[in-house]
Amino acid sequence: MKIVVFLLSFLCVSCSHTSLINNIESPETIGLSSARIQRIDALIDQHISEKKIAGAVTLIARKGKIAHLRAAGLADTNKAMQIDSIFRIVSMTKPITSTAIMVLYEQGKLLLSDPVSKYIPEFKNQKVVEMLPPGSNFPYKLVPVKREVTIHDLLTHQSGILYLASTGWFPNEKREQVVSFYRDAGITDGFCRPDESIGDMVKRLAKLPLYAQPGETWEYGLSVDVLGYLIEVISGQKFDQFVQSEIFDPLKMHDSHFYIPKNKLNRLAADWNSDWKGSLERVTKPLIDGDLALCPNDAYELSGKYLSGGASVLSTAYDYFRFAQMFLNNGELDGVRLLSRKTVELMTATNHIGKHDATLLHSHGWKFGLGFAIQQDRSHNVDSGDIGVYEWAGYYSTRFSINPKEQTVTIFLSQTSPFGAHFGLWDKITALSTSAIAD
Amino acid sequence: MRNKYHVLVSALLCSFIYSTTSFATGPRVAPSLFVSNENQLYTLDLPPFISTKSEGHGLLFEIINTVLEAKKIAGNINILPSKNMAKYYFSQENALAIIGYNFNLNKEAQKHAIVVPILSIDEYYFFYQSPNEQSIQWNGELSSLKNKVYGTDKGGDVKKYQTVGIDVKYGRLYALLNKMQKNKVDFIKVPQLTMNIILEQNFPNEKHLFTKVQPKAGEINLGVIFNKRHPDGKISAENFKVGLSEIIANGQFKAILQKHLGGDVMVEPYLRYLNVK
Repeated sequence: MKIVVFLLSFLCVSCSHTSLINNIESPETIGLSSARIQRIDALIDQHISEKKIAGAVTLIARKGKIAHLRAAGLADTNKAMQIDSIFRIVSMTKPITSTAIMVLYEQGKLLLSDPVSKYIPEFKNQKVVEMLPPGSNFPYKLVPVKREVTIHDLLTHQSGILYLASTGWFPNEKREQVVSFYRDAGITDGFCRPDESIGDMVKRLAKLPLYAQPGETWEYGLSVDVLGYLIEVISGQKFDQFVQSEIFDPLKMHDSHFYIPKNKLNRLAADWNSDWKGSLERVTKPLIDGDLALCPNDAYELSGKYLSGGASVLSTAYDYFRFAQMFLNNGELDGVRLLSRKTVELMTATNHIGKHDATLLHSHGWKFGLGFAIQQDRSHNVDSGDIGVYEWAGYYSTRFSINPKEQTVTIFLSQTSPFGAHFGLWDKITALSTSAIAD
Repeated sequence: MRNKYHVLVSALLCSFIYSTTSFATGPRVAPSLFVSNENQLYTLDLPPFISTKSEGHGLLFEIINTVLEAKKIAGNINILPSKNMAKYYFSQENALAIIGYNFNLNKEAQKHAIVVPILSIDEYYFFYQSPNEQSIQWNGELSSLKNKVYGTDKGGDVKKYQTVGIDVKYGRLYALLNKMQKNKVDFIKVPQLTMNIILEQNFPNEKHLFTKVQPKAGEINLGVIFNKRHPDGKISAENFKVGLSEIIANGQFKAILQKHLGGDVMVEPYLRYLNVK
């Protein structure tokens, strides 16, 4: 019996490989240069040989066709990376969650201007931390919000809700004070899957003070986790079930999951710790750095309570391509319409966050839309090929980029910590993908 | 009697000063969320005494609300997820009161505190053991737990543990239970009733592995700390004391305890600090 199961599993993997490989177009037929795409192979191979990363899957598509899908290096100790290897995409979950919200928006179940308290009453009467001048009797005071947090604020990270890890990214006293409340209340960033429901976490978070007045800052944080719970409240379904039925199933993202099925465990790529200088080790323990806590081995859990809208999804390059292509097609894929063209236009508009920049992964000149960072001009440090390119990334070194003008999708999936060293590699891949355009 | 009252107040204040384990878990919904910020009584989760998941938000919640209503004291109970927020509202925004235990009020805040004790609850040490492990040697003296690891929340009195060679690790109750399973923490101190609920909700298949040991480890004293700096703080405290005595006398207090803890509950142990007129 075990042998039969093994053979069937092997057959399924082989079928899946074959079907993916059969879908690959010659780059030249869709206006890309084969020779230039090979530069991406060389770049990845160089990083593997220098032991900066263990392995990666890269995907380049144009005009709805995949021109390049390549696995390189190791998925795990003594196991080669495969094109259908499954990755912790972490924050690349956020665009999926944002899309789920927009599905409800299109169903007339919510307005982006709705205060979150309309659905989650704990968001009523929120307070904001205001630091007091040095020498004051007390370091801070809590002031009432000038207006309530809206769904739009959550989608665009303007809610004033933080990640605990942000104390390491942009340290200051006020952030430390807010995060101390988070710690006190048992809030985590969700990168290590807590053994509680997302609702329990969000209800506590809602009672804690905000870092800034809603709409007055851009702060990357747990806002999208709140959206995940909001989806549960509004839809009446568990968040993962809603995403499955409204996004994964219609888009045939068969290898995307919040918790990995047992029969796919062998496809899950391991996380590696790299010093970026040639020392590369498979991660076996949680990675703790100040307030940042990563638990890559949680991805091997077959079930659990926590469904993070900001971090929980596991997926493949091909599945994420299907998700990205749906956006390039103005909301539909293979005859299935997920969103309207007008909603895609709304999500990818660049003026959602006003004067604020989305500087976390990029630089000035990037704005945040409803789920993505969007390139607003070409006068700044990070250039992904065109104004209007939208993209995001994940903590274990994953990134996608969608260029609506050139109709390209670029996906890079690795599993390497720490995160900060990878910006240069990601930017180079995007640059090489863009420069492979040959028409 | 007056001396006895002072002893009682001192004991309760000590319980606010010296910390035990934090019990904040689960959602924090209360009707009081939807009112303005005036006349708030802030508290933390401690099932089954205060809990949004319990009927009437828990027995302590219900006792306090019963007294507030009976004496027409304007006040809403607001369950917060953060002890520091409760302390902030008490000391910086002159909230009417804070409820519960274990707030570690500083000396300045203590000056403005009027403590009204309500319930006394026994606490026990709990260990986690695999089915084959029987190495618990608690005999009532902390020295018997030398070289073990004690789990508690930050801010508590841990000197007595450290003095006898017990290592201390910090965390919230739920996190500590997980650490016990992973052998990173050997024991914690929790009321039996609280432990029963947490285990039933979160560790239903392993609850038998969390073992309570005798004798009891101590007591926590639950009550209301009224704030003299609130315009109604002093008068509310006086009225509350009267109202509490009245519901004890007329049987409402006992009825609430029986409702939450079962009809055969012995009420007297919970009142051991309340035999003060």
